[in-house]
Amino acid sequence: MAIKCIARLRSRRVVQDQPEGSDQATVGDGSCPWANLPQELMREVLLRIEDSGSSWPQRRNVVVCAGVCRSWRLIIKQIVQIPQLSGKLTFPISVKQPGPKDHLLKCFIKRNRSTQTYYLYLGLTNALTDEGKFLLAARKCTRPTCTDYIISLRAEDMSKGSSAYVGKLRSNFLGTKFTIFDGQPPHPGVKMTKSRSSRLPNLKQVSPRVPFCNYPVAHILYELNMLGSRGPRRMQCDMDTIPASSIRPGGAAPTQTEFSLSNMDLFSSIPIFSSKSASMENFLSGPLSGQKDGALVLRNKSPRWHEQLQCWCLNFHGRVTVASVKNFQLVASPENGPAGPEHEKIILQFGKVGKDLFTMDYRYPISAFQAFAICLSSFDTKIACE
Amino acid sequence: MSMDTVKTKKITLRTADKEEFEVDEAIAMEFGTVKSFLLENPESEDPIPLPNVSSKCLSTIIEYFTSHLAFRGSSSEEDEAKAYNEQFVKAQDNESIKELILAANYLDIKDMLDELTQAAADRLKNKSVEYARRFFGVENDFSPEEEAALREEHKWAFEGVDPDED
Repeated sequence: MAIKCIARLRSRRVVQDQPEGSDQATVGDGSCPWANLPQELMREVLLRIEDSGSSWPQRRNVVVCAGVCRSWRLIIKQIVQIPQLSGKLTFPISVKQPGPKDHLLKCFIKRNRSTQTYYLYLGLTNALTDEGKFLLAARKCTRPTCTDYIISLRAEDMSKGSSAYVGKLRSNFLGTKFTIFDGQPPHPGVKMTKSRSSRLPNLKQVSPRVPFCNYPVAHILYELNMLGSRGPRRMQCDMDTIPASSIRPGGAAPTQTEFSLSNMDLFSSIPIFSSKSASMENFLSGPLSGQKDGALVLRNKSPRWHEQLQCWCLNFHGRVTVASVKNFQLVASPENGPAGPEHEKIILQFGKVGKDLFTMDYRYPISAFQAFAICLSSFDTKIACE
Repeated sequence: MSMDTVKTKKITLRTADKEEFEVDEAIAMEFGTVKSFLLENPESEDPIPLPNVSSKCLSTIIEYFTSHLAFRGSSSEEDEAKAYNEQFVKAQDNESIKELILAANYLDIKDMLDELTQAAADRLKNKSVEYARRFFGVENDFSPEEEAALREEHKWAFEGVDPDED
């Protein structure tokens, strides 16, 4: 009778105490009979790992656990929130996802002049620069009619065919116009008019990366202002894959969930895509004008002339300490509509803090990759002021 | 859980390997499953079977609670419990941690389960993928293509670049 009662108790348990469909004693190859912790318990352990590794380098442990087996990866991907919500960067894809909504993510860039290479790091402390977590690297490649900055997940591997290739920034000959290219289609399933591949990777198949395809995702324009070269230059960034509605309350920005390298997509959490914006196909062929929900346009905040200091000033809130024509702050431009409080928020801030050292602070709706590319254009543009 | 009167009532528990343990009711009541059973069957005198718990596990758990109940209600309970838990966890090998997690889960001992899952998480920190697989007896079920992608992901997570070669 006692046994019956215990059996009844067990059926009430929320947590399954035996692996599904298997008798715990039948693992007969010498491996531990307790090998398979039920999902719920494994999730508990992984939750604690995620919790205690909120900053780098401890966050590596989350990536390690996501590489153990499929069920662990699935659990981790369910637990880990996108940067937009958590403010944390975890997997490589995090650099392609929009930053946090409510604060700027602080990063810094180191320049190596001799190799023409730039390294982007996530800041780990409140200091302007510190040990940092490496995010992306970029190398300048000068060509006869344009300049390319190849952007990669690995500093030592800058080739376009590499699996670490993320995208590139291309400038025109004059250094006044730039295009950001993404090595991955912005949204799976969207047809690209200018793609070199005829078929986009199917999510359900093992799809090898097509490294030589580049999808234009943003355009940057530099101009002199009314004062010519005596005044700060003007910047305009047309973020073709981000709808202008993304910055309004309730708006959303498209978020990639995996590098489409293989059927990793099968195990990722459900992609969060903006369904509120106009069809994404409209955004892919170039800058928009006159659309009701067009692409997000970023413009640089105009510095003020400081009579006593005799220079142009912007309030960088302590994050930029060396005057430089490269320094800028970008805000969303209302374009054709009325300006709202969302047009006051700084979305990207970049500036010099030392020899070959720069801070880069970005937030939703742009990603670290987009922010980095925009900053690289600031290094390159020939529009300067005295 | 505080005891109003000192009870010396004993409860018999029978483990998977057919060993019987006589424990104070106070300790037995720490186990959620046993507590529920006892509340529903207050008159039962039969040994309570625990087919999912080995004698090794149960004796460890009993030892844990004997110690905990000893400093329960004292003014320095929190510190004593913390110190005890640290030593306790340290003394368990990886296999024991896993067995105890399963036993604590089955017996419905929430606090102990929290301690143990935290201990398992701590043991995984700064370890490799292979170590994690061995620890949990988990097999690598990724395809070769997925493995390649994982290697890239791993490299990125562990990337340390020193570009100061000006």
